Amino acid sequence: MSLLFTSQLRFLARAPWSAATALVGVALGVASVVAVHLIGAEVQRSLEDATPPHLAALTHVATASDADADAYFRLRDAWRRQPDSPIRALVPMVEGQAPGGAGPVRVIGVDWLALPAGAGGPGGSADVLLGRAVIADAALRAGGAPQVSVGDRTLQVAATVETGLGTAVFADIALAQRLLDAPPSRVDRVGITLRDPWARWRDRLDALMPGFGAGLPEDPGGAARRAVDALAGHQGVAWTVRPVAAERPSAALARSVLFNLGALGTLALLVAWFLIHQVAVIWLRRQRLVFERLVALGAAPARLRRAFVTLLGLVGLSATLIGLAAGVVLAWALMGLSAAATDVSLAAGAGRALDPWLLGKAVLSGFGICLLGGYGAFAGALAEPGGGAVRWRRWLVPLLGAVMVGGIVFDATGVLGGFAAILALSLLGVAAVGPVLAGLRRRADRRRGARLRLLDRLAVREVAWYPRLLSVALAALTLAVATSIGIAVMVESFRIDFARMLDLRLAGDLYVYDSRGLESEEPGSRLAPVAGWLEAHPDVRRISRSGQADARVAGLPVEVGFARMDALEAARYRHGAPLAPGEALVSERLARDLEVGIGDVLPTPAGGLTVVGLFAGFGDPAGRVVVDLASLPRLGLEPRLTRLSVDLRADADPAALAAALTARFPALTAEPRRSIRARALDIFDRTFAITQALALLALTVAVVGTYNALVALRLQQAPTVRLLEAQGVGRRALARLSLVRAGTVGAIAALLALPLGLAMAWALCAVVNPRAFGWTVSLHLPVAGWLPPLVLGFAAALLAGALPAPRERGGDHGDG
Amino acid sequence: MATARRRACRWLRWWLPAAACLPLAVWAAQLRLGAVLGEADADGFARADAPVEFAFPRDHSAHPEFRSEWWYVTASLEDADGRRFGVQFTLFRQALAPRPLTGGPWDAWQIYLGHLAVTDVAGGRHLHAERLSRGHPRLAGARVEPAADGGPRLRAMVDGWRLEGEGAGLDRIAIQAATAELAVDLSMDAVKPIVLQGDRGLSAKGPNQASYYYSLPRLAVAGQVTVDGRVRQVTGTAWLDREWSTSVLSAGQRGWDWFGLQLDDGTELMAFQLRRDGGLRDPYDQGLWVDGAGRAVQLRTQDFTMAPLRHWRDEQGVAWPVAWRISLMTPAGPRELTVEAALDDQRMETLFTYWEGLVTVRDEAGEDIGTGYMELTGYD
Repeated sequence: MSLLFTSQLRFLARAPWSAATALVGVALGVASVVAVHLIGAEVQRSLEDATPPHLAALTHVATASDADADAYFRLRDAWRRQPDSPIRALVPMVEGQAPGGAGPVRVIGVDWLALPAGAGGPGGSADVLLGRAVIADAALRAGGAPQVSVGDRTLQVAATVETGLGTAVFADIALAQRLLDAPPSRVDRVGITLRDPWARWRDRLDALMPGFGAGLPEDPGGAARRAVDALAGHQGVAWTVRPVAAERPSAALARSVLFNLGALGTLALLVAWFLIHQVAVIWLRRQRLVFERLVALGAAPARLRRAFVTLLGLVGLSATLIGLAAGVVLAWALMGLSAAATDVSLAAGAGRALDPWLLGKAVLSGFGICLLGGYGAFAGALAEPGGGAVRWRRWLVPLLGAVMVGGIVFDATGVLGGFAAILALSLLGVAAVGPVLAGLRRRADRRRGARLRLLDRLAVREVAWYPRLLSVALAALTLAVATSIGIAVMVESFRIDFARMLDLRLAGDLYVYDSRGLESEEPGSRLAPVAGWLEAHPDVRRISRSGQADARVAGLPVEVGFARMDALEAARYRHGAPLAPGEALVSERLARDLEVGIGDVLPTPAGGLTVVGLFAGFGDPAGRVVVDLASLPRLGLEPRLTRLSVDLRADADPAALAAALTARFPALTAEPRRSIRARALDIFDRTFAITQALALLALTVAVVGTYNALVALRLQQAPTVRLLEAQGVGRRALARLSLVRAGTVGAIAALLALPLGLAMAWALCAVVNPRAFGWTVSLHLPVAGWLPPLVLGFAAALLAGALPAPRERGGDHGDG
Repeated sequence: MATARRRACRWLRWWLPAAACLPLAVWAAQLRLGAVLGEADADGFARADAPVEFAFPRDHSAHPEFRSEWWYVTASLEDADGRRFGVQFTLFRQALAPRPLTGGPWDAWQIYLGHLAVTDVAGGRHLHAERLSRGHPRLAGARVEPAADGGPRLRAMVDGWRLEGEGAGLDRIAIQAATAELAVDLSMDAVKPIVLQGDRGLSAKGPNQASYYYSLPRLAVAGQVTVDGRVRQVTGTAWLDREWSTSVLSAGQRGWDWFGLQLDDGTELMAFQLRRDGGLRDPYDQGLWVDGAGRAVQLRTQDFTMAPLRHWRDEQGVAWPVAWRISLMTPAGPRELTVEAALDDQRMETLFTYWEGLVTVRDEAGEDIGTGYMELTGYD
């Protein structure tokens, strides 16, 4: 072991407290990354396991209002005449509803042989080709029966899969046409597999950062669109090409959540990087005399740097190991927090695999940031004070500004662009710390006789005069507090909007469902006696019947909500008039996907629907259309009612009525509005529990960093303190000095973090949310959103100042 | 330039035994063949068990009542600079069931698989591709229909790759097939008439196994071959095989070595041996000698022997015999031929792996006396 490295180890032994805080900070950063990765990987795995067999190998789906077999074959012929087309496969599909033994069954038919080589479904394509069927959703196959009935046919079951598509039968296209009573000329959609030269890299990125793919712009450059246009240019069929993710909106939603978590998961790491950089700066300062002597004795600066960075590497390696273990525990805890909040079970087998990607990522995170921090600090120590910073600020600030504006303005940059804008905004905020401290210093110099007491002035000056010691910690604290504000304000705003939506939609006092599925019966047959019983009940004022069904509009899978849309029902969607036949209300997400607005006509199998209003479909994974019962034939749907909404007299007790109803009709589920509302909000809160926990984790790392910086400042000012003590300044006054110093740091961080956090909140509500989930959240500024993080950040800084400073030995030389 | 060509039972080995290697070809990755059809699941299919009167052009089209069938073209070609190319174009049909499953044009009871390969000897490359499709009037199939001039026309295709033949005797054949890497566009004129294999077209492969098949042993070829975007005008000779059956090769056979050689003196030779466990000679090994006038003579097991001279080992360590000595008795007397691959690696790494490629034929003195195609199966 070299003498230099031994000397570094000795230094580490003399500075156990700062080493420990560095270790804790970096370990927390690594733990955050590890936990988010584990959660993401588990969700990814669940999503992949549940991929419908016909979609697994596709990248896009093409639809056209006049799609049929002839249009498909013309497209295919053109493709086969163009060997250099980027398209690898064109797959005809049909889909529709067929009557089943226990209700309508979704039938999906595919030409399995047209899928790319190597693709295939559970049970094997041959089974499907031979007239057997693959069943999605085991419920259809009661008791594991080897056969199911669809229409007038009995199908042999080849396999059962869970795909998240609900009750569905996958069959060969020939059989599906028969089941749907469709002619051979029917082809509804064409699946596309695009040759993607970046697929391997994208897959690796997704393995490294689960969910990352969801943040990338869909179909960048419109490659699929152009490829299909090149084939169908003069064929007279207007194909619309969409990424295959549109076929599985719930999976797309889950991936968007993953991306958001991934972005947030790196926040703690970023803050930890600030921390390690700051520790490195402090350690360098404390060893400056030693280093200068060693250089004078002939030691090469490069060897000094290597020994120093190796020391930090050791810290990083230890922190990585601790962070890995902590990350697994954290993942379990976070998944417990969010369980039941999503369709995908997060709790299933979480943390079961520390895969090579995760290990590499953890090492890169912990070890890498320590090495970078060490190198950066060393380079900074050698640089001219101020000169370098001015140089990089000259080009970095405009660059960050451009990234921020670009990410916000250009929708095509997707969720990734939105987060890039937020990151740029954060870094701009961080970059403001230096100038703010400089301004404070100038101000303190000019106003020597300010109203502050001498010791308070001294504390404020110390903060302004030692930017190298404090600016990094201040930046980290600012960033953490701002992020907490941003997330909290966004969540609170979202919660307000969500609660208002619930209050509007859940206008009935009591809701009645059939746990066996009312849709499995003829329209109204099971509802009729229930409705009759309710109407005869003295507490009941009004009953509304409604239903929900899956359908396709302009080729996109949508949920259709229907009821008798009188003025009262329409008002629940903020629409001021009853819905006439042919009119529809459309969720913001669907309007965005279809690029339609009020007055536009949605193409439907018969007649079309005119959009007369938009509503926020918070929480809806797919686009949603709301129509009057009279419009259902236009969508090819039957009025199968699935829900009763009951308005009660003012003095009635919904719970008592629910109990009486379920006693009379045991198959029913009756739930008062209050209960549904509370459950929905509980799910909402759980959904964001992970987000807020991660922000809190980043704040914790920042507080550790702040404490570290304040301790360093205190150690640096030890001679001044001794001088003050010699002049008779008491312990309480010195404690106050320390608190004011910490309070100044906290106040500066709070002042910077508030506008930064609000800007972040706006970007999350107005940019990231619409791109990730398809809905816009109105920005509200409830005190509960912005004040707690602010107070927390300030209090944490005060606490860091109040905590006793550890006694560490080592050189201490001010730069003030 | 040499001649002689043909294809005998080799594909029976693949397609029939494995319970219709069909799914093998179709979904090798996911399918359990036994679960689909079962090893002995040939019930309901017609069988080749007795000689029949062939009727052309009817028998050029598909025979869906039999389980397996193919249209197989191989060609030895040269461009104006003497650069050698080999072309293989094969259209396989496999029935999933003896009768339609659902009816209608999309019915998947008939599956078609296309193999296309080009050997560029000077370039040291063997490029190949495959296509798979269900039988459908717009996708894949083989049928004879009236041409514009009223004569019969065979139209066989699989997903954009086409083989068309004119006349009752398939006097003129055209193939067109393209991928991103290679393309062939060839016209072929029959130089010799159709010859029937085996006993009046019934070719026995075992005690209870046989197929119906016939061949066009020599066609004059002209057209173009495109490799990596470079188009080359080529000429040469080709061979067409037609075969259909349901029967399964017997257990104990591991693979076969097949040769279809076209000699410069205008004669053709086809010979194959079935490799049995334990190295015993299979009594159903057979061959065919076609003289310059198109007269065919059957070769029995005792009329020829084959011995490998050199092996080429692939990256998986599989040793492929790429040079052979064939000793045979022809009507004109005994012959000793040396056959060597024009390129060692001409594996078809498709849904199933085999070796099929261009070869050079030499006489006892080591002089080039012809070309042809060789097929090796059951080595991987």
